[in-house]
Amino acid sequence: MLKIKELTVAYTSTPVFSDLSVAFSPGKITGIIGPNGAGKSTLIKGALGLIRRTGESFVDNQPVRRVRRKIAYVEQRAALDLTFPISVFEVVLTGTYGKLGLFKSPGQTERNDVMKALEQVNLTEFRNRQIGELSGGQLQRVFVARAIVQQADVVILDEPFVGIDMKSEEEIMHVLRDWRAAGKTIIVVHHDLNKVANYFDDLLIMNHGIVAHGPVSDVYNKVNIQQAFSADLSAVLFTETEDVS
Amino acid sequence: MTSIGEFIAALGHYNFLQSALLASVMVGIMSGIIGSYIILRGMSLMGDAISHSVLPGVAVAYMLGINLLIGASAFGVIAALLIGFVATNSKLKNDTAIGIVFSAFFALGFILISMAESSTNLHHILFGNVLAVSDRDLITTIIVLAIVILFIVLFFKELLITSFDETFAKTYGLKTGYVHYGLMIVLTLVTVSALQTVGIILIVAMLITPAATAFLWTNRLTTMVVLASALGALASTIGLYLSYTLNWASGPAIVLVAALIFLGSFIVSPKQGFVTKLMGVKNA
Amino acid sequence: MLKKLGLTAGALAIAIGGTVWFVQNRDAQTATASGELRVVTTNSILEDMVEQVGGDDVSVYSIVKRGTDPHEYEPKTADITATTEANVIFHNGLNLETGGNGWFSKLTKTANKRDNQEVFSASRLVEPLFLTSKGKEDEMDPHAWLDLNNGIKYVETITNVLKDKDPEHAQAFQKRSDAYIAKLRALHNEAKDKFADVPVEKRLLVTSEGAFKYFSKAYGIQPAFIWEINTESQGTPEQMKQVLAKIAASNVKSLFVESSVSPKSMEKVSKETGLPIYEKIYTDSLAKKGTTGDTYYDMVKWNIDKIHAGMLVD
Repeated sequence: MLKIKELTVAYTSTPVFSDLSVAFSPGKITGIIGPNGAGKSTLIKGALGLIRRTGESFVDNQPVRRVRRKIAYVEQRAALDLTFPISVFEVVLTGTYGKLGLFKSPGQTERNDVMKALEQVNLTEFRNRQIGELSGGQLQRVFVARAIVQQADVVILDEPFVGIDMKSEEEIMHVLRDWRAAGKTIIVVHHDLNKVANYFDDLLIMNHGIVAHGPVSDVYNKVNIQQAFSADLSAVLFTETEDVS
Repeated sequence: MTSIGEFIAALGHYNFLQSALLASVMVGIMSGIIGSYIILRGMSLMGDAISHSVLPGVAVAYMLGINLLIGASAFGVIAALLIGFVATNSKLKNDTAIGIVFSAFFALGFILISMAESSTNLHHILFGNVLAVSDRDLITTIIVLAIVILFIVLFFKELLITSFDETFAKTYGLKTGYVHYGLMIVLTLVTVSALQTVGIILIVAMLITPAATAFLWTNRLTTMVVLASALGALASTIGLYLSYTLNWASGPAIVLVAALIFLGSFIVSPKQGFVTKLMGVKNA
Repeated sequence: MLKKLGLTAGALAIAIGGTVWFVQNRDAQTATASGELRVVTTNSILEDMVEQVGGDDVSVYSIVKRGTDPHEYEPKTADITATTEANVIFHNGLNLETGGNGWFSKLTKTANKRDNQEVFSASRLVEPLFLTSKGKEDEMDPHAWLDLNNGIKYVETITNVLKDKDPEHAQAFQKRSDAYIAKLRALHNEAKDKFADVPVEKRLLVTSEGAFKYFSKAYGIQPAFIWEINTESQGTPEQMKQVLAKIAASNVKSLFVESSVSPKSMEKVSKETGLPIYEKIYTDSLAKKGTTGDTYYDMVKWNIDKIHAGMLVD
């Protein structure tokens, strides 16, 4: 359970959003959607304390900064240096660093956890490749594997499905559903409106603030999409005769 | 070649040459190690900045008669803090902040040194003079090398994750600021030690060139760090040999050798692909 | 981690210990070459004097090459090896080779040579003159050799050291020394007479460095300079002001510039006063071999002749 209380973030004098409060339930996959610049990634970075903000966020009623190990954050792929001399295995291994703490080195237990995670995302044969050699989908699966190894209660993924192949997308959704079954809180910042109803249980629609929040079937409708995005888009998505999908 | 034999014989014979070789090799190793992290973190300009910023510290150390390492390190750290402050608290980009701070420090240092010392000593500081390494300098250098190696071994995974994915490191609770400033402090120590062999102006070359060369040959961080330090040591040895045989200034000779090794690697390495591409065309 | 750390710390401790042991236990540096007496001098003036006295019985290596300033110098590998192998090392002393925080004493330390055992000051018998600039009155002026009488004292000191170090050739050394000193003495007396025919108000010797105190005292003229000694700033506005004032207060018609300094400042003085630079003269270094002024005798004779002629210009 992740609770965000009265979060305000401003990069310039105009805030991206103010006093935003929202709670994400465990055992559910919540999607966050909204137009570009709506504040989706900003919400996450603010909640995690990665950027300047006012307001506080809590995991199981404890402030995030005290229980960081309970959160796994899978950031946008574009932010990373893919020329770095590190292999797939080593990237996933860094997921164990939080648990190990300052002066312990990863041992056999950690290495086994990494192998298991790699199997879950079908990357075992790639484990010794340098990460720059991978496709977008393979790379995303590496970071999902890292999140598996972190064994956190809350997992947040920032636009994981941008530019990846169908198979990778399916494999990642498979992992998310396993996590859901295990009772984790899963949050996905989604970059478009594809498959919203298929992937998510709950939906948070944002446009410089919350437009709507709740179960997909309640919230994903013509009115809300029009409010967050535009009338045209809403019309295209929600014609009278077509199903919402 | 007989001149290599002569060099080796001279090594056995002259104490100053032995000290010069030991000091250069040690500095080559420590520069290669820290330089690897510097280039992976995209901090080459920062490396140059810290090396220039220690000049006022050296001047103050001379004037107050305190240990050079302490005076210089103090200013190196102050510069790093100042750069960090300016970068985070203004809209200026990082390289602007770095440029302003380090050139100001360097100018200040120049003025102070001219007041405290004559110009030859400034020449030493700017370009190094490994032929004048004292026994005490030698021991100080190996202690710094030991500190560098211990730092890397103790904090290997922290350095790895903050160099590769700092955001991730923050999310699992690692105090990335401490790692950064820890690295800056060690960088300052390495810089001050390298004053002896290559001087302030060329330190950045020893930090960057062997590490960049190593990067061209491997995809594994540990290999890169070890290779960089070996290349640093190799360049130092060959540079000193050239300095002895051709009566060249030793610091610049070392840097030139490092650059040539890089050039050769740039052309030949499989990672870079020039030769393999050429060969591919031939086979087509 | 603990194991890795322990191994690393252990290896490092061995490396540090090894270095300390190595540094403390290697043999103190000694010369190993053999043959004739090997002498190292700091500058070309001393080099020439040693050659005059030592002849073929010594081999001489001079560190600061002709045309370079011996006040501040950066020893190269060849210099250090030569110094290490030397039996005798002569330096000028009197605050000459002290720039760069004492480049010469650092060099002798590196080569493990000790004062009065291998290292000798050629100016030992000389009565020093001191600088006149404010705050520097207890610093010695090194340019004693420009007064031939002092040059003779240098040669006497050199001869005694060589005789002591190589008694086998002592007689040869003494013979050469006596002849050389006689020559120098004759020139010295000639110089004293020469300057008597220059009108007093023209007896101002204007040079870049204040190197001519001893010369001026010996031969009855007044020295004027831009900067007093090469280790300080050269050509500051303050310095320019004072030398221009001195020139204005006299009737001097010629300026001089030394071979081993940058002529820029004196060229500025020449432009300001309209007076020409009459000739290049020699102070800290002899002329290049094969040109006039390439021995001590010729160098001082050149100085005397040119300065005298320059002063007589209308």
